Amino acid sequence: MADNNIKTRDLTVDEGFKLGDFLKSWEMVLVYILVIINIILSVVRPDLYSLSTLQSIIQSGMDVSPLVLGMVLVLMLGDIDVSCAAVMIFASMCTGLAMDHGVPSIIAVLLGLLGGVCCGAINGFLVAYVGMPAVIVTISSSMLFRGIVEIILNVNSLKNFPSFYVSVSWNNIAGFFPVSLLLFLIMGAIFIYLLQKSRFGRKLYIIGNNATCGQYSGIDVKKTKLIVFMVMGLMSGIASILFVGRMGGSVSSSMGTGYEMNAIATCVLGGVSTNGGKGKVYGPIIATLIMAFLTYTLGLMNIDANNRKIVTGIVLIIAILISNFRDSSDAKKKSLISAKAREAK
Amino acid sequence: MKNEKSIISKLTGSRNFGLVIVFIIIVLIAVVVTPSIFKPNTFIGMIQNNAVYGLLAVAEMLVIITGGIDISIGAILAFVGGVTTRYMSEHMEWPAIVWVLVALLVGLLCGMLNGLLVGYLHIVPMIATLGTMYIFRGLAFLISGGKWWMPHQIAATYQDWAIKKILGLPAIIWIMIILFVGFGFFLSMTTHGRRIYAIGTNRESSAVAGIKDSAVIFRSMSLCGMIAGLAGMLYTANYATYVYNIGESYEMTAIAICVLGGVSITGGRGRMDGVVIAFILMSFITQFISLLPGLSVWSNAIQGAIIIGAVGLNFFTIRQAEKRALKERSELI
Repeated sequence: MADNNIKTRDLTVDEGFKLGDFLKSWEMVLVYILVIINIILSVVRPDLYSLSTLQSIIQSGMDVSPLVLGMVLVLMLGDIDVSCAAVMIFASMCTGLAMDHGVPSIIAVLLGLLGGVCCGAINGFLVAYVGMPAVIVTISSSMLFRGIVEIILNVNSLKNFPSFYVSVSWNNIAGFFPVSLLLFLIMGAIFIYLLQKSRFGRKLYIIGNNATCGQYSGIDVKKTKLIVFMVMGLMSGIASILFVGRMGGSVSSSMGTGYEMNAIATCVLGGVSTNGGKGKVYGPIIATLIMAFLTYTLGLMNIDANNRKIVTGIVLIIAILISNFRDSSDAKKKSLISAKAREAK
Repeated sequence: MKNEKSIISKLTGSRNFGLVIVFIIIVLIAVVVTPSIFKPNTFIGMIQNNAVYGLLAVAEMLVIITGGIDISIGAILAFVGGVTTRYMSEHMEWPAIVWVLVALLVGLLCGMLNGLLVGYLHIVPMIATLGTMYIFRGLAFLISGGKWWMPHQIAATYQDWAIKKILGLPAIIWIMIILFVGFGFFLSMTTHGRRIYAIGTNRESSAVAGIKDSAVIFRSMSLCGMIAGLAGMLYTANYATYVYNIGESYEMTAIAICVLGGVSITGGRGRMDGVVIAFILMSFITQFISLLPGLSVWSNAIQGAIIIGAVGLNFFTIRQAEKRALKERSELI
């Protein structure tokens, strides 16, 4: 009796590992793009294509990387955080002020991270418990945080930072492996575990797909949102270490504008949906490297910063168009298969 | 069944109630601290300086009601301002109306690109306009070559479009009022306006109901670009200067004004009267802070705090009103 099979719906996903699908996945497409950029770079400027160039390319793109990782979680909820650059500056200010007052450097760093977490908690509280839309909360709180930095620093800049800041950003382990890349990969691994393997991460996917559904299946949506925004604040605090280091150990209130948009763009290029509930951490990690290589390569080809923006914008739009196109053709294929299966029955 | 509500409950039930309260409080503080703000000239100057934000808020509103968002309008403003300023300074003798038409046209083209990406190619609005924002910013630099334009390079007829007094008000304010009234009428009274709301409420069901959703979104975003383009031309006319990086983060202020005015960020809700009140409130706050002695560095922080407070209060009152409405309905049953 063939009808017996219909009784229970088969919900198991047994895709298994297929090399063909793996090679066509979005993450692999990103790897291809990265390789192509490298080939172009090595062909166009073979004189500059060396280990030290690669190191500086990677180092130049790493300060935005913690923001990207944090942003993955926020986007996963279907929210957005455009205040992260302001939080980053706020956190660096906390550290810098503490150092100026003679606090030991390790505690100053912790104070900076704590400052970031507090900013994140304010955002999270307003989004989760007051129920305001994340876009508007973070737009206005970014004005608020940056405004506080403006009040405290005015036109001065802080120059007194722990000495390891610069070495984290610019030094290499054993002469060839950038410290910042190692830090990024460790954080990336933690986030991959957090999002793909832990209970907390799976909750985020459910909330991102359908918050009401998540609420009814026993997830404390408000608390989870608060935690995510606090993690975002913590990551902004960590970003402040790399950022200040890259800027050579100084910070002023007007620095780092536009970092939030770079972080969001990188996440989306990495395949995270801004509607929430879709995406993996691998993608944004590769996309961070792509963005670094892209900016640096265009710079080496003597294209100035403003024209680089045009290229970045076009690359972003084309990447999204490709992934949209793949999604819709995938959906068509699946519906075709299920239609055939129905006909067969 | 009682249908008549008392005036007070009508007032407190209004979506703009929280906003009006904040407005009144700030006006009261201003009366005490900086009475000079209420001189007619100061007031008109305040509106004139902020009129660009008003134009951008109207543009942004058209898009937010469809359920989208457009973060490229600041870049469109810079790009179009660059186009008109550059060619105007090369052809000083041409009538200024040409540059208004050029601004509208170039803005429209920018908006159409956004509309194409969002409406027909189904890219998430935030990301599509993030991409075009980079492109327009780059183009703004390309067209201006990174140069500055000073007042003596800008034709007087061109400046008149913003600063010439007509019946006591500068032209830019009249243009803004025309847009407020025109688009208020367009949104609430015309078929196309109502379709914009329908799509913002539920794109799929309005598509099923026979509305061409892609076309409506395309037109909304094109209009948005067009207004942003006009704002770019008027910005350069108003200040008689141009640098390629003008209008940075103006889109955020425009979004803030919209949301403050009760436009739902998820689409389908929002009226022009709320946006007008929010616009006046925002300009008032900016002016108020700039008049306070020695507080210019505080402006960002105070503005941010007030927006958070006002939006929070607005959401609170809206939720209360909805609760009350729900209670009334359940009593009826």
